[in-house]
Amino acid sequence: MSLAALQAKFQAALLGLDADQNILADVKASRQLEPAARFGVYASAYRLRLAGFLAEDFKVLNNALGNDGFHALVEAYIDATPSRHRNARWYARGLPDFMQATSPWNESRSLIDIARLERAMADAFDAADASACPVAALAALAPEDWPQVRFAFHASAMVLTLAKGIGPAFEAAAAETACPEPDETQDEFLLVWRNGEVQVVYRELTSAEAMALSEALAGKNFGEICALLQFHDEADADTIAARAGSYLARWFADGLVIEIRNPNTAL
Amino acid sequence: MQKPSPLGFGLGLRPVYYREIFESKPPVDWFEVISENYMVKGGPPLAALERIRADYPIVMHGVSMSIASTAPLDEDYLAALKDLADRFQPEYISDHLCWTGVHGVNLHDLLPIPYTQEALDHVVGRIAQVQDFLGRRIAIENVSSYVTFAESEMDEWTFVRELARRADCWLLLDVNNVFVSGYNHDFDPHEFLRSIDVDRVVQFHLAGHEDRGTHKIDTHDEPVSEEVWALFAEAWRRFGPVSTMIERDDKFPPFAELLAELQRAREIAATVSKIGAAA
Repeated sequence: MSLAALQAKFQAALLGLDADQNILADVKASRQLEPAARFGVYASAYRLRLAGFLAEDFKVLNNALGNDGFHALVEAYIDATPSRHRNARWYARGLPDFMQATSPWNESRSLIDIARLERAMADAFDAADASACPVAALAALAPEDWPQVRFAFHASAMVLTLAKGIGPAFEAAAAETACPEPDETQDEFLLVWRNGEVQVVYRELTSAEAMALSEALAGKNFGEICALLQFHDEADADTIAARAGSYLARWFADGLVIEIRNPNTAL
Repeated sequence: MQKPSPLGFGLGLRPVYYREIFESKPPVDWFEVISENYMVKGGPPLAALERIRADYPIVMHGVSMSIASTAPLDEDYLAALKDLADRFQPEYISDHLCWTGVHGVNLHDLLPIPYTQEALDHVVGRIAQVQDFLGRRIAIENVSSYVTFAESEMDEWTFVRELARRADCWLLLDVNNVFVSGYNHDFDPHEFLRSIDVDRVVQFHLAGHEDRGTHKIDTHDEPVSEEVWALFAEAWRRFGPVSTMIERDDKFPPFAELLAELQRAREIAATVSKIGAAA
């Protein structure tokens, strides 16, 4: 048998795709152990290792589900999802989507959203480094440049739309304390990012700021963001510009903005 | 063939100890880092490694090269490995004599191979490809294994020795793995050591394992066992001085306990060297 055939056979048995475990015919017994028990060392290690990856990245979800509930989820995920990633975290990050797509986990928006928040925090943890742009840099913009200006954001920044009350529920689950149930019929908007080099944080956004920031993250210019805010709030132009300016000041203060892109100076 | 100079006595760098290392600058000669842990875009892992690297030599040790797989080599992985090495300038790069999956699947384990001529030819060719790509010799580590394939045509030590000669690579001799595999496959670990070429071995691994009675498992969650210390003395006698380090990956003890274990490695090496010099 070729090396390729042996590896395919070994892998199929490890993934539970070969109920007859044909690989055992290729394994010799040791003085103390039969082939099935010897191969079993690998089979059990495979599941334990993947479960360990998931437990490492979803500690809060584990608390929220309880150990038995989390174990059932993990076992189902491992059965459905062989890893195709060399990095353990890339494997684990598919868990919220699996919950969304799979009964009975797709019945709880709250639990899915706790998983999504936890994944976002893990993603922010090792997103690319970049220095924050000082707010003073805005002073260099001429008034007529403002509508065209765009902003580049720290790679860790993301806006999540979650069930109302997920923030407190997440904190409570992390601390293993009781918390009111989130309202799954209402939305809450959370901004997750890494603050400086080391700390992943999040804060709640109003729906208007969430919309403005989502647009800014997508590369819309300041004028377009103001137009969308106007559509959202139907306030006058000065009020909208002042509101957009206050959001922008906060994004700078949060260290989210890493670059001001002024097409007029670029030309 | 000039081996890299021995680095002394090191430890596996694990995040749980970052703070203590930053604060106390412990008397560790070098650190071995798991390459994949730093193949990220930014954030605390890379910042921590920058700080460590400013004070200590490092060696990059990978778990994903899958050098013995029949799947194509992962060029993205090799490129990331090369980038990381360019940035952090390790003394050398190592990985395991194993495969981690085929058909696009990663089984996240160091899986065993049959010791056949076909496998030897295959792995020798792959190491040559990797060494060409990286522009440097790599070190290959013997793994702990739990199954013996009926197809094997030679002993593990013959395979490892021939591999190093033909691929012209270094060897990372994991002393605990020699011991664990010796127990699991009913071979004499001393015979393994005696069969490996002295001029190929650039590093020793020491670690703890779990004894299940019928077999032993390479868990890295216990102190180094007495049997492995004895085998280390034997290895030092044959191959020393060689860069030596302790791996710990679970049930992390206070850092001082790892330093004490490392001190024991230094003392064993010193004693063996003294006896050797007197003989």
